[in-house]
Amino acid sequence: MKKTIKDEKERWENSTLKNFVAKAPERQKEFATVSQNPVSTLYTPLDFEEKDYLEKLGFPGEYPFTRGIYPNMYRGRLWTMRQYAGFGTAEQSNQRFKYLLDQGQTGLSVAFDLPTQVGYDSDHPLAEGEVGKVGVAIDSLADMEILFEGIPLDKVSTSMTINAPAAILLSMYIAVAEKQGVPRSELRGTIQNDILKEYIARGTYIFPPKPSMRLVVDTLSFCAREMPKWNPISISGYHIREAGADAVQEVAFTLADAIEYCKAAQQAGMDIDQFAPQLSFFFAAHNDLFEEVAKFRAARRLWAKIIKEKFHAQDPRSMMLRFHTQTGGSTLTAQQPDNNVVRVAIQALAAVLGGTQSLHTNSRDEALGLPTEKSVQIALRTQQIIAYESGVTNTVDPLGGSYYLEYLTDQIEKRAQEYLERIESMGSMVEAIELGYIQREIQASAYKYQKSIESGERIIVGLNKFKTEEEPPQEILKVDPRLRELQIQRIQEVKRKRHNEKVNAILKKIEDVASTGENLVPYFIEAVKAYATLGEITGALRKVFGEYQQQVIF
Amino acid sequence: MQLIEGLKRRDLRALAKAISLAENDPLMAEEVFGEVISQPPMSFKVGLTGPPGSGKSTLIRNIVSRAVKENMSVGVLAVDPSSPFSGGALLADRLRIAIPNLDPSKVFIRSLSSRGHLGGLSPGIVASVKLMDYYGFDLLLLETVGVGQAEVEVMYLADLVGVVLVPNLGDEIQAMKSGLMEVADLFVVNKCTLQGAEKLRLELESLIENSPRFQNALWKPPVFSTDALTGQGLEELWAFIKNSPRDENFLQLLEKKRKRQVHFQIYQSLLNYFRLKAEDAMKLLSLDHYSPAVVRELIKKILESREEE
Amino acid sequence: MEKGKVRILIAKVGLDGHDRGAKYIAQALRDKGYEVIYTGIRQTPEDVVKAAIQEDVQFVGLSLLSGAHNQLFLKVVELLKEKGAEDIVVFGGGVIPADDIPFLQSQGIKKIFPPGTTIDEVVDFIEKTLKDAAH
Repeated sequence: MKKTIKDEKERWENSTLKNFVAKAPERQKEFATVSQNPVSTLYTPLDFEEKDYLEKLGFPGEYPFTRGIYPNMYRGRLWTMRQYAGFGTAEQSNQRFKYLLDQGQTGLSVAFDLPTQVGYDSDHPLAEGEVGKVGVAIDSLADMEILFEGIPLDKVSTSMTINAPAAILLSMYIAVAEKQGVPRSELRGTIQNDILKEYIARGTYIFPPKPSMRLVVDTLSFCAREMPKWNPISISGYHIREAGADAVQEVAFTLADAIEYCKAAQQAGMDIDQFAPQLSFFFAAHNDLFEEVAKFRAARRLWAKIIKEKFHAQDPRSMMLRFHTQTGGSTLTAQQPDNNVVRVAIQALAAVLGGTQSLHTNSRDEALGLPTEKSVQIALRTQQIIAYESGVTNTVDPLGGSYYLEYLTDQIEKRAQEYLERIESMGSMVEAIELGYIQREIQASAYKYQKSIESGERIIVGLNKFKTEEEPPQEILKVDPRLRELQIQRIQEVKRKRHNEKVNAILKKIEDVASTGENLVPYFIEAVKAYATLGEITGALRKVFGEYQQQVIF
Repeated sequence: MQLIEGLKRRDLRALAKAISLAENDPLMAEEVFGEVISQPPMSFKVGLTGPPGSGKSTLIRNIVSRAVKENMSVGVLAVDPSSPFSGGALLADRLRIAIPNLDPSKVFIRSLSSRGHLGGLSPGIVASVKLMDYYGFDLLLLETVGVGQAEVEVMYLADLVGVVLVPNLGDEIQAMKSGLMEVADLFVVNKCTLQGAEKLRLELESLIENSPRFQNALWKPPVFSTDALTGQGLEELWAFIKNSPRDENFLQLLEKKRKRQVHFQIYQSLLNYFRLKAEDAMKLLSLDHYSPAVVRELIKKILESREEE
Repeated sequence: MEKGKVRILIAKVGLDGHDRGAKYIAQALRDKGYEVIYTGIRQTPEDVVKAAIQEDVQFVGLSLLSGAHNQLFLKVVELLKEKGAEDIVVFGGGVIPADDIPFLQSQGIKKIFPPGTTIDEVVDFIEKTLKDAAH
């Protein structure tokens, strides 16, 4: 009788394996991935059958896009190496951008300081201590012009990590490009503009959910009409993961947010194929290599199915999950920071094996402060070494077909789908957030994870095992605290030079339009060109929209 | 005593410390604050109770902001259950109630743990309410989590009790039957834009109609539909709360309530006293079997020890 | 003092919204038996001091990851002193460079906990501080 794999596996388990384990017990009682996906000793064709290939995997560049969104992936073009940067003044950030572009980076990624992210000018009382610390301070178009001075906006693509006031910063970018003679229809880049995750995990919201969704839809609509090469949103799982969610939750809650945006855009009268091709995503890459690769593939497959079956899209470009990845900051340690270079390498590899379209690698001093030039160089080199020396870019989805990987991909898809169904039963993602369901899930994961580290059950090298006595690190980047004064002077100068009646008029217009359904973006463009400050524009919106009050749920 | 002087001077820190003393050592607090605690009530006390997730804190925040706009001073006591495992507590009501940049002399918020007492009614809480009363806020708000009979006792301390419910939480009507009906002077259906709100409202109105407590009563609890996030229904709710102390029927009801509050406080004080004494007494005898005689012996010891003091 | 009667305020000052660590500490301290009041994010130093006084806490724990610690932590200490509440012990955590720690600790922050701190270390600090105060 012919031997079947099933029978042989059983035989192997009950004899060869069993006998071996009896002599030397395993390191753990049970094995699982970081996200609680159980892991067996061995995976075989029993876990993935060839007959399922066409349905589950198919071919890259075709539905369900499991193996990749382009037919030949990195054989055609490598991912964009896009290091998040920005701090201090616009001049300092401009210098760092030029350095990175010189060093071979292929796209810009702008970090803004917290006052800017929350729509406050540097002279606002709440900006005390915060100006220029976690990113560049942008108070008006004047700062934006300095930020991109000497950088040809028709030649670079720029990603801006800005959410609540995203439409306003986009307007500034458009205005700068116009001055350079670059039409908006040629501009390439992204604004993060994902307000839902702010309520869940990141905290830089301004207005309540409803008016915030309106601003998102306004930008989707504006970009669909006038900026075909621009990604008006980067629906993010990164921050959700960093807040403590596991890989399954990262996929589930990100796609749930995406579904919510699609529904809102449809309700505003847009057709799915009009805006969906411009949606982009943003995920984290953590240490469990195979789980991360599986996660990206599961996300692609699940999203394709949702767009096709739930939203009935016709255009295949609507079904493609395009994403940027950042290696997981929360996995890096302050202890023995050089270890972080190794962690980042593994995480970057996972992202590449997972088919990311662009990648940011963290610097080794992540847990200590903003990266020094040296550290950021190593981070960039990590990507370059993977790209040019490792060989993984020579074929598409190289790990595809690994029995373990396909099992994990199926698992993650299945569990994420369960979350999506539960969220749907609550009505919508906004409701699930209001009920606190999402936050509680994330917190439970975060708490469990932290406890496992403190108990020693989960080992973090250098932190709770293999510790050393160390000297505090020598070079850390610090931001000059006098920056705030400098910015305040700048604001005063801008206000002196501009036509204040013009500014007041457009601000009043914005208040009026905010109360109607008209698209606000053209008015933002007018306002920034008149050198209205960011704080003045969001101030006008705050009057109409109100401010969001935090909801913390334990 | 220093703290009483501080209270008289309307020093907020003294109030905060007095509350801590009342929480940590209720018997001593009763001695120290005797004159304070036996004063007749000054503030209008509104209690809000209801299951977790019903949005009580956000409602309270809305009430506070309206009261402050009308130049009233407000005190808020927010009670949360302590952890049955560790005895600790994570008090997160404040962050939903606190309005940033508000003059601290206008709004005083204190978070309290039930410290293991079911009914949310720790002896400290009774004393704290009295202390806040003495301090003299125009409006005193008391928030507790209430889902059943036990959790509801603390509401006896309030003049006007609102029960907050939200649609689709499942057993809200069950909860009604088990005790919240006994304390409610008004109902709030919060998050009223959710599906099921109308149904809940109708169910409540029907329960009120058929409840023996409200047959031929002076007072029938109104039902308000609100959405604390959009502001819907909040003006009406606030107007009602503000005007209750002037409502004839309510004032009659209040008289009865105040009598019951006095009753209740005396009863609670007795219970506290005997609970503490019982715990002490249990340490004196060796207890290896139960009999009514043993209990009698212990009661005797407790009463004797009182005489010795 | 009995553990259940030790009250601790955990606050996030400034605009930084990363609250995973603060939430963890708040829950873990509760699980260790303390009474914890969590203020949530975006608190001004004035809000924090107001809360500390009204809640009559013995400890205030500040969390900040945005680099604004030198200004904002010290503002809290300054305001507590102004209100006559400098007996309240202030500690902090987050992303705080090692060479800022001596300065902060000399200006009234009793202890700064770097990333990787375990909850037991925080509890040890709290208990030791209480014991020292009792003598």
